[in-house]
Amino acid sequence: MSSEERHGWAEALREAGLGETEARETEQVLGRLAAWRAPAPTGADTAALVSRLQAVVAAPPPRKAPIQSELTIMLAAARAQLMVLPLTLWLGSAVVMVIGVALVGLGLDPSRSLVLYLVGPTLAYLGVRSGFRGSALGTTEVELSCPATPRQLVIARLVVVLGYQVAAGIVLSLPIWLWNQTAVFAVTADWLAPLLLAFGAALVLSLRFSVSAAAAVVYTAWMLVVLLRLRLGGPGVSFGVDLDAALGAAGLLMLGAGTVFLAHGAPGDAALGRSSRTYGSSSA
Amino acid sequence: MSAVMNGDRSALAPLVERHHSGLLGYLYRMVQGDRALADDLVQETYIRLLRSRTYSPGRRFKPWLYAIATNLVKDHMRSPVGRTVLAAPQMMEIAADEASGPEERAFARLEVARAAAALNELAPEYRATVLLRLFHDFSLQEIADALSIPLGTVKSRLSVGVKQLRQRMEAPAEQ
Repeated sequence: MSSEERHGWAEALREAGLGETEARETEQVLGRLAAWRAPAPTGADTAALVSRLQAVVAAPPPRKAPIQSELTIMLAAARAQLMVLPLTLWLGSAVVMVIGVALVGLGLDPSRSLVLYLVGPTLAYLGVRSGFRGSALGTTEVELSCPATPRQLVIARLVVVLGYQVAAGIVLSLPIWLWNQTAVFAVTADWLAPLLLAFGAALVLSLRFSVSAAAAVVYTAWMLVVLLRLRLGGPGVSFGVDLDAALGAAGLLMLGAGTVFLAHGAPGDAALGRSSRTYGSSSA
Repeated sequence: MSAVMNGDRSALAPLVERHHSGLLGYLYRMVQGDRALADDLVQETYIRLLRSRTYSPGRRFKPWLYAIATNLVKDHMRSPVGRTVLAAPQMMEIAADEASGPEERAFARLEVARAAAALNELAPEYRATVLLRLFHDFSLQEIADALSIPLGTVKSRLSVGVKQLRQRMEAPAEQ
């Protein structure tokens, strides 16, 4: 054992909080572990590895992709998502929205806001669970080799999922608007603001935690807020148009921030390795 | 790495040569001495690296490389195959005194096997921290970057890992 290695251990053991005597005794113990030699690759081993990896080296990407080509890639990725995203997302979202509109239309929502406040985050939960990260869709291996970056794919999915839910929500809200023409914006804000807020918060959280955990935390937190408001304020749970608009804006900001951080190697990018479900795909 | 990401194939060999030995050694000890598995994981690490589009030139390469490797080990351990605990490797390479006799070498091999078993008993997150700090000369900050954990967590894992390792290595051998 070289003195350099011992010096390195001494410093490391100090960092571990060991006293001098304890560190010396631990070094002797570590010496036995150090005697377990890890195999060193030969020159031929390394050359063979390099040879196998040459096929993986990608063609040089353009240094500054023109905006038009980046949009083209994302549009193509968005079209592809229509085939990849599960049927449960489309049907589930539609069912949730129809139920919400029906309950409001039948007058079962005492404040016209409670049901709508619950609809938005439920849609977001469905969308987040279905749309974030390829691991939920079983497409991680494919994503790793396709030209679109993870960030482009997330944006494409967000556009498709969020776009669908917002468009469907607006269409299904028409009957409510017709019943109460003076409350168009208020009705829309009641379901749209929590939807955007939940999506944004889930995206930001999913950069640090798993997608499932992020979706569950956001959904649960919002439910608790609504229930608390119901308990404290009675049937009139509405936050008001102004606060709804602020919540929606906060959601949009978080969506923007989340996609920016995704581009700059957030911890979630290690999920390129972590999220793979098929380790055994690496044949020599 | 930037050159490789731009498609410069000639930059690949030096990149691999620089890290192959250290990476193989790390993965070998992480997967309980399975050489074939370690080789596969090394290759898979580089493949994931080369396919990743998220490298930025200012990013430190070595922690990122070992981050991918560590995540692959965790994925493997979660898989049904990964849960099989390998027996103490009979074909271990050990550093033994050339002048010692066969009995001394056999005893040294037993001691090393015990040490390896003690390391294997550590939870993967402690094992990774101990190996990176003590055997791969990573700084605490580099370990924090590689394992995506705060610096304080690195220190506590190092402390706990070293103590557990020592306790297990000093425990009486099983009959």
